[in-house]
Amino acid sequence: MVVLAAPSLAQEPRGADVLPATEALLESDQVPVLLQEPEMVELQKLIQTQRWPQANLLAGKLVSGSPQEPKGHFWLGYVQLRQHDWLAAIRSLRRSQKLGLRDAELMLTLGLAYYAIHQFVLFKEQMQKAIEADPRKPWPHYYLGLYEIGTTENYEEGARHFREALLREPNDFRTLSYHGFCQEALGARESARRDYATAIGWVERRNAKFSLPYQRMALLLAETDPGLALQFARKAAQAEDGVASNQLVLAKLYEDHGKTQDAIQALKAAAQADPTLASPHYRLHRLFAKLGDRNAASEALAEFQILSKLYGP
Amino acid sequence: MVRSIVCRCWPLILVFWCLSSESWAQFDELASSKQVPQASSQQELDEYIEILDADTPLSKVQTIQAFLQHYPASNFQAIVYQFLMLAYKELGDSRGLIDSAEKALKVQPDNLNTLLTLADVLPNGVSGNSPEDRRRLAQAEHCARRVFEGIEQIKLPRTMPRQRWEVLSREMESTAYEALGHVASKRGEWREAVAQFEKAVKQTPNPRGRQFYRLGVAYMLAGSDQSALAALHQAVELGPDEIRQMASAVLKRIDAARNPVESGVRNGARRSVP
Repeated sequence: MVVLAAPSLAQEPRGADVLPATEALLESDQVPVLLQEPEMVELQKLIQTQRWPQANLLAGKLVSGSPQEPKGHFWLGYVQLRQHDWLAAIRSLRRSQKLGLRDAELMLTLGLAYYAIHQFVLFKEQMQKAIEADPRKPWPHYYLGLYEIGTTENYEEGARHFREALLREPNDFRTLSYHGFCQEALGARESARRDYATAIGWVERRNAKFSLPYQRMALLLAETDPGLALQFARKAAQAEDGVASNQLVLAKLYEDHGKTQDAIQALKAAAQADPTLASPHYRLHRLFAKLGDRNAASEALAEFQILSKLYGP
Repeated sequence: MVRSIVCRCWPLILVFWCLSSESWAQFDELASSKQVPQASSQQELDEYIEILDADTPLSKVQTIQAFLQHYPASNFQAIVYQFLMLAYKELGDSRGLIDSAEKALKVQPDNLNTLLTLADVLPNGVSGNSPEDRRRLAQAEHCARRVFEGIEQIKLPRTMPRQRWEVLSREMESTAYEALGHVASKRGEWREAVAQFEKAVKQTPNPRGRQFYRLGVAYMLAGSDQSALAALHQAVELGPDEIRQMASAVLKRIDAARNPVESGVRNGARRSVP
């Protein structure tokens, strides 16, 4: 039996895929404003091209030139957040807030900075303020939903937030996938399956790399349609091969199909993707023992014992 | 403008995916994200960050005292007292150090950093065999032994890589052995001191001159001059300067004791070694 934890943030893509609308960093209606603020034009170009050190320098200059201007501090904080300099980001964003900026985006950005240092009380407070400041935006609900899944495991509350986000952005495949995940956790498997199927359609139309709906679909179908389940598991692993749970699901399905060598490869990939996970090593131990490879089996068992002692099962 | 740009600047979302394992290190490296103390207000976190920003031990002590006055029931109490303990350590204020470490332990009795610091520091002030001296040594020994138990029982957050933990835990064990050796030496139990200091130097991933110096002195007082010379030479090599000077001084005394005609200091050398 494969026991999978809730999809933690560690299972999220860490690469270049983004949502939504990253392609449109600036809209034409901003140009007149930008023309009046040449420094902002340059800064936005740097942000658009993700040249963070240069953006940091320029934002720092803006702040030095106009220390009482809250937007400069906001942008500096934004850049610092992108550079993972969490405390510096919080300092800058708080300065912007104290200087009077009240935009929902400031609250959202500051909330994310608080999340980065696991200050969940303040994160939730800022997300709530962002919702109040601009109730049309889906993203505070989206992040609150992720928080409920990843931190509190309150799937009812998570589903509620994802529903709110979907009301505002109905075509977002991530939000839909996470909603499905909450439904699944709450026992509504059919509803979850529908969410995953729709999300998969959108992922494929956009040619995005997002594995969660494939992985969950594979698990939902494992008993009723193992062949299709294996296809979904392979797609999940192809989409994001560095996600340990994708490899664990794939290994389980390979094992169900009697493909022991493939299962071993997938388990090794899972162990590589998350070196703190004990369970792949136990399963490797079983498979090696089944193949009669006693040395490999005992090595895997020893690794399992070390990791489960250090990190838990 | 801010709103419209950020709305279309959603690479910010990536930040959410990329939360670093170091992101809450300043909140306690061995705590999982769910165990991180929570600020109850933005102001409280701002003031906590001011503590992190304080660039001298004295200003750290001042910002911590202000913080504790403003937030006497803060969730950050344990870690703030740890910062206070370290600031006092830098200031060489052992009374302040011990006081803040004991307060930190009241809030978080199993904190390995605090236990280690106390185990390391408590024997320093012991110079005799008074009830207070005996109490201090017993407390230091108790703290050091709890470090071993804590290391054995700890469940790591998955953000702590195993390799890093292996180095960190060996470092902590080494320091705990050193503390036990220090306690034994203050009790005049030189063979036990040698045994503990030997474990300390064997266990450490980063050899420290202080440990070799203490081992060298313990060897000497246990009557193993050859081993003492080797350890003290190692201490001279590793330093820092203070240790280098102390080890060199002991080496000279050993040399003098072994060559009494040249030095004329046959008697008393051993008794005067720190």
